[in-house]
Amino acid sequence: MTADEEPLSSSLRRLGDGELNDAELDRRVVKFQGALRRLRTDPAEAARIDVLVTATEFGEDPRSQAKVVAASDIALMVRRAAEGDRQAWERLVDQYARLIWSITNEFRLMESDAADVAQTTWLRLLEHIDRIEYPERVGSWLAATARKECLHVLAARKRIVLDTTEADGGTAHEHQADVQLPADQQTQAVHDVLSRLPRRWQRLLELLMADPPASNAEISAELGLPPASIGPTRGRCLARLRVRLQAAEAGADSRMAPYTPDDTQSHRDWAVVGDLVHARVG
Amino acid sequence: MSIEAEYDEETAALYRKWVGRVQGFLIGMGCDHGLAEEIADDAFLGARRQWCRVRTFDGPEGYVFKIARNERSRRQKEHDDRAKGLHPDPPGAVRDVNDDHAQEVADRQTIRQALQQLPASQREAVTLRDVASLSEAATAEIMGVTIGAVKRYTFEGRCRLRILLAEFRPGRGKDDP
Repeated sequence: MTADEEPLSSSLRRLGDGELNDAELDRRVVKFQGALRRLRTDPAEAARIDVLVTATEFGEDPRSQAKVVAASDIALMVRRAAEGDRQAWERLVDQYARLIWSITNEFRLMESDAADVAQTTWLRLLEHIDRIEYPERVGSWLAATARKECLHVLAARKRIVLDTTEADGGTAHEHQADVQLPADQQTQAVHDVLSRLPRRWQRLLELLMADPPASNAEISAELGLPPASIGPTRGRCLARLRVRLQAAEAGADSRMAPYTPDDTQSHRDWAVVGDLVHARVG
Repeated sequence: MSIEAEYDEETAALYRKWVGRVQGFLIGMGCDHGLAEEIADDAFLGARRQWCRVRTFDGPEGYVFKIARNERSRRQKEHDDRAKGLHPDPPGAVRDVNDDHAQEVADRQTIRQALQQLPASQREAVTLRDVASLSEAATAEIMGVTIGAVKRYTFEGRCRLRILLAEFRPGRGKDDP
């Protein structure tokens, strides 16, 4: 310390010791001894002080809301939460809630979707908390689960957007049959139209929509179809199916409907028709 | 003497030695006198709850400072909300004492005001090093930073504090003739 710093340090030191003269210190010590006795006899007082100790031992950083917690403490929290300790569970939520939200932000989810993802992620933890192999790495587990849930939400949204786009776009009329027919009539209509397709095409659709789907080699072996022809045949099959569904809706004779192959449309139709075929096969 | 009584006695001895400095640290960090007293007592009671372990530490007072530091942050806000609009010191506290003591109290008040102008890290480093007279290593341990960071925070904090005190004490600043 330099000579210039000495007066400053002296002034600062008086701020500590100068607040308590000897008489005041004696009074405080007596008071503290009373507090020590109360600590031994009053469980509520002991519990109150234990909260302070726990907060310090878990490493809360008072300068920020972020809490730096040692891996062993995380593992302890997970174990306690698995045993039903509500406080430990709340501490876990406090510790990792921001992590989960940051992941939903990465995926640019809407607020409601992000809330769903967060809720589902915590639900998954609740389901698996007693089976987590590395409890000290529960943060990574939560992050991976949250990412997976985000992908599920995005996949679901993608399907919905596809339907909306088609309904709003110029090809909306091509799905009028799907929209206008009530569900039971629609199922019956698909059933009728499918039954009027060539048997080979019916079987092709069934194989393609099987769960798990049959490989091209298996389809080729069963139907005697070259593997390279499976895709184009599927396109023609779907185009025919779509045209006949439109014709059925219009009340015309489907056998007289013109056949116009449209591979682009067939790809868009695939998801919709797949569901219908599933319904029929099921 | 039972082990509990022995532990009580050891904790009380630690209290007698360090309570002034723990309280000074808390006051330097912005607590008023009543709150600093309350938190300091609780911090020593916390050390007592863990005394069988804490007594083996090289510096058990570091544990007390850690609890005090943690608790100050939490309770300061509660206390501020409760005491909003109230002056931290009772009115007339300075007027009721003799001139020398009044000057000393006013000086302390000035230092406290100047400390509040420092960034949190510098304020914490300066109060732990200069008010509580802790070593750089102990300060680093309590703040959870490296010794190098403590040196930097302390140096910068002292420089800034000297400028602030010169502003707060016109006629005693280094720029005055």
